[in-house]
Amino acid sequence: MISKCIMLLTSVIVCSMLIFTSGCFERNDPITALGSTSKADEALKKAETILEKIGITFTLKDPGGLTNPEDLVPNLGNVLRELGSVEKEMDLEEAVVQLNIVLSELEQEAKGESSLSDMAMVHFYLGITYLLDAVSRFLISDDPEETFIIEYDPKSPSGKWFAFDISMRVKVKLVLTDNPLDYPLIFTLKERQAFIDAADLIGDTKLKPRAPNIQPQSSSVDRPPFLKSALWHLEQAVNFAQQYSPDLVEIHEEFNRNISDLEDTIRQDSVDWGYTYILPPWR
Amino acid sequence: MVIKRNLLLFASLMFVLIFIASELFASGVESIVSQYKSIRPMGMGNIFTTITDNGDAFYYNPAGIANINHPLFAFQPLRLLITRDLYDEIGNITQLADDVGKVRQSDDPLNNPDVADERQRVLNRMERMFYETLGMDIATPTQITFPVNIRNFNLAIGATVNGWSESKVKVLRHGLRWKSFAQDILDDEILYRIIAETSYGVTTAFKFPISLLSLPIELSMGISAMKINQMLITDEDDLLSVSDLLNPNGKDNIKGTADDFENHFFNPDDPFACISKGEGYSVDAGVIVLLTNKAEVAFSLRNLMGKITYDKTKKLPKDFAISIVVNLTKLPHLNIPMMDVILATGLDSLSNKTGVQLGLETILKPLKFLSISGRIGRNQGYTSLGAGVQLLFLDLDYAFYCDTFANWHAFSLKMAFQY
Repeated sequence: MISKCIMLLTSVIVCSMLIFTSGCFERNDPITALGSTSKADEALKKAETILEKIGITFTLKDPGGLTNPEDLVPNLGNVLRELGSVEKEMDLEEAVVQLNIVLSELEQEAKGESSLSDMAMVHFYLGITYLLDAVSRFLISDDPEETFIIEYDPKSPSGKWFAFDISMRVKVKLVLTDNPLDYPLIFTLKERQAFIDAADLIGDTKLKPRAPNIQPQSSSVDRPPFLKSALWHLEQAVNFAQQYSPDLVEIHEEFNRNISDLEDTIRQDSVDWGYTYILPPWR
Repeated sequence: MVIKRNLLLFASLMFVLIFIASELFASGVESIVSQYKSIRPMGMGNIFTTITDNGDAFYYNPAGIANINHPLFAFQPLRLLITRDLYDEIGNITQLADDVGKVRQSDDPLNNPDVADERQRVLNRMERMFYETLGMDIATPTQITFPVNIRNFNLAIGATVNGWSESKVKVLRHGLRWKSFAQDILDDEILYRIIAETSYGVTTAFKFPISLLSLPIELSMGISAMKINQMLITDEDDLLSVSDLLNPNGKDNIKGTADDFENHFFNPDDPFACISKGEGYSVDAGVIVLLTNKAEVAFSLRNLMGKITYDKTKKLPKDFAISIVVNLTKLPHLNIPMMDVILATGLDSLSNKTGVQLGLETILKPLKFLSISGRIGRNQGYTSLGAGVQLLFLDLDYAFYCDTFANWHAFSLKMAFQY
């Protein structure tokens, strides 16, 4: 009987070994970390790939780089000049789609474990992508002749990183137009659409012509995936960055102030060009 | 017929116990709770509750010392566990030192193109090391056991002294997986635990024959009590995050408050000033049911009672292990001389991860004073391997062991004198 008992136990052990010893020595550490989801990681990867394809590389060489947010996109000046293609604008829109997925996953699915730095950086990425999309729309509308001039220089003597202007050709046309209410007609339909969209993308600002005889155009980005605006996302980035490290606030606010200056310039110019504007309630 | 039914009942009961226990003690939380591990069991999935025929019984199952038939003195001058990551890093330390030296000698270490390759290698190495698991475990256990045989009754009394030190550091990934390393680490947390312990205690066990469910068996029961003194530096209760490193004045950004880095974690200028000293005790108990010399079933309860007092008293987590072992070479019609093939399965609640432990050890005994062992095992879903040579009183063991914390290389040299 003892032998039978031992045989039974042996069978139990052998069966257990056969069942449980599958596998190898390598560790299977979880790919998706706490505070993220596989969908969020996947969407972020896609967004980063798209932005890299456009030429935007967010380079944070070390955590200390957070104190210089303008250095996060070191080649922004070159990228801005190359954004005048429909393909790139479509890519930017797709990047916004993917980043919205990331944000939604972090807010709803990460079970309250999403990190402050992730939230800050996703909002920062979204803010920059909205801004680039706005610039892209300006440059696409320049077909065939240049109308809008946008430059980026964080070391500009004026202290403003972004310079927004119109070409001399358009300035001459403005001077030659007698009635300021007719100024919008100086711009082509496409150009008018570009700065209406850009104002919406950057600051959620709604523009419409002052003159009743000019057919108002509505923003073409008042739809998904453009749920917010660059300034809104950048402000959110500051809020999260502040909670992550109070030292970061002043520097990020400096960054946002420069984007806000750009939006101010566009908005004031649009007033000069015969438009009125409505700011969103959050501003 | 009655015996057969009893056997089935017995086997069923064992399985029910193992699987109920696996559910009760299962937890998805990764833990770096430590348990003394001996190298021989590590090679076979750390299953040793039953195979306690040497000094390891003091730590795995106190009932095991009742199986020691002659006075035994065992001492381990060398016992080292090192994570594979740390082992690899130490192996390549010369390259790192050369690269760092060249970069540092440069006039412009950050931008000099002449040391670009060295700089890149150092950065790559740092990035790799950040996600490696670094750990080391050193101990020098010493045991002495005196058995007393009175007819069929065997009583053993033993004493043990152990000095043990363990250091573990691991980065726990958190949040989104960014392409850039520097972005990725911003929300990661660093788990560290450095412990130095001295412990001493006594163990007693006795073995006697009984009849259980009509089966003639030998029952061993043992209990041990240990006095423990510990020194500990850890952030287990409140993990150190990268943002803590970036905020030396804490989240309120006001120097001199409780959330300052040096108040919350440690003073970087004097990291050892924050060592916590604790003392306490633990009581372990165990039972082994020996079905002749062919098979055993064992159950042990570690920290049945126990606590460590630091600033506040902490109860030691209770932990149980249950296992079955069969010596295949002793089976009827298979009585192979000069060889043991030991097969074991069981469950240990300490690893916090549901899974059955499995172990197989083959021991060749070509000479009376020489034995050579090969081992394979499975512990909480990870495979382990081991080998050992026993020559007279010298016992040399190696194990490649994987657990929820890391993959380990483990070595030991033991001297065991039996009279």
